[in-house]
Amino acid sequence: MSGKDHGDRDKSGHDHDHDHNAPESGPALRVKAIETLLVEKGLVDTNALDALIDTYEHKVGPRNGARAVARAWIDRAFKARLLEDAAAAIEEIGLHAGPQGEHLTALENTTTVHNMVVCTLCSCYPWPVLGLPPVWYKSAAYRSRAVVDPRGVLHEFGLDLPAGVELRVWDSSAELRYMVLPMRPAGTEHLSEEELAALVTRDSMIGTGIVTGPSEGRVAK
Amino acid sequence: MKDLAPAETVTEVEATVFAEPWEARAFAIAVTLSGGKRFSWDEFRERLIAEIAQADAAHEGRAGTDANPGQYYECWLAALEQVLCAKSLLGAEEIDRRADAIAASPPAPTKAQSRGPIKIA
Repeated sequence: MSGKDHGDRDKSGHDHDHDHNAPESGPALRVKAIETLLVEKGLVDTNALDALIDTYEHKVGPRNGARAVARAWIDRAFKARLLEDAAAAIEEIGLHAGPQGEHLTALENTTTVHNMVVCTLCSCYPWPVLGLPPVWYKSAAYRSRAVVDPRGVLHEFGLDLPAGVELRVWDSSAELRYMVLPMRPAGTEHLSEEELAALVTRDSMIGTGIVTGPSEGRVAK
Repeated sequence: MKDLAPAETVTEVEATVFAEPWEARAFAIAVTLSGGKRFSWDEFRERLIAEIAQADAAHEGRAGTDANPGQYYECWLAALEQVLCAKSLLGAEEIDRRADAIAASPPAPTKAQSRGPIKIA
């Protein structure tokens, strides 16, 4: 943190809704200083940074994980490989383990075990399959309460596990990144892999949600 | 814990990966430099953990109000600065000086918004 002026807010009263000419301050200024210096030293390239940001904003996200889940639901052998070595298995569907995914581990939810993932110290998260974490995943509340009161947290997500289901909370680290393989909902036997993937939510792959079947109408068609 | 949002479907979630452009720049710089072995991810991460712990401690006692969403990337930025300096890739004073210079310099003229002719004579 720069300790400098964080007050980027308008001082003169004029509209600064989207004024690209406004002088930067606070963290934005700090980052700009760092980037320009690093570019001058040849340590980073602005276009490469742009491309990386574009990747994480638009190309890498929970759709990737949803594809792996859907494939695992319809292909028993793939599922076995996913649970055995998820980093290798996702390569089969055209994903790359890449940064933060080298040691990806898939955790299977069953009728008796529900898995839920947290990073208690920071924000470790399986980028290649889920993209970057949502704000709540990084919040102090989630990081602490997922361990102290996981069932309470799940309740706030609208998920009440039956008392007989064992809840396992996994702490991610730089070495181990987890994704949850949620249970396939009933009534989806006739859906295609693509249709199945569309049902899979991000939260179901963190373990703060489950996958529910398509609405009656969609099933009937 | 209001920001524990209900489950969204995958197709609905990704509107805002970064709340501010600077967050994206700070993210990309750290990932790029660690990928290029200028420092290891762990060397960055241990500093990030320390910054987050500090921010958490500062927020304790204010129950119900979670850290502001922008705070995470402020921790990220602080960790980035520390690792850059620790690895002698940049100096703290150098960053200060550059930041002051950028703040003091007149905004760069931009032509991006004028699509039409700028003059008709």
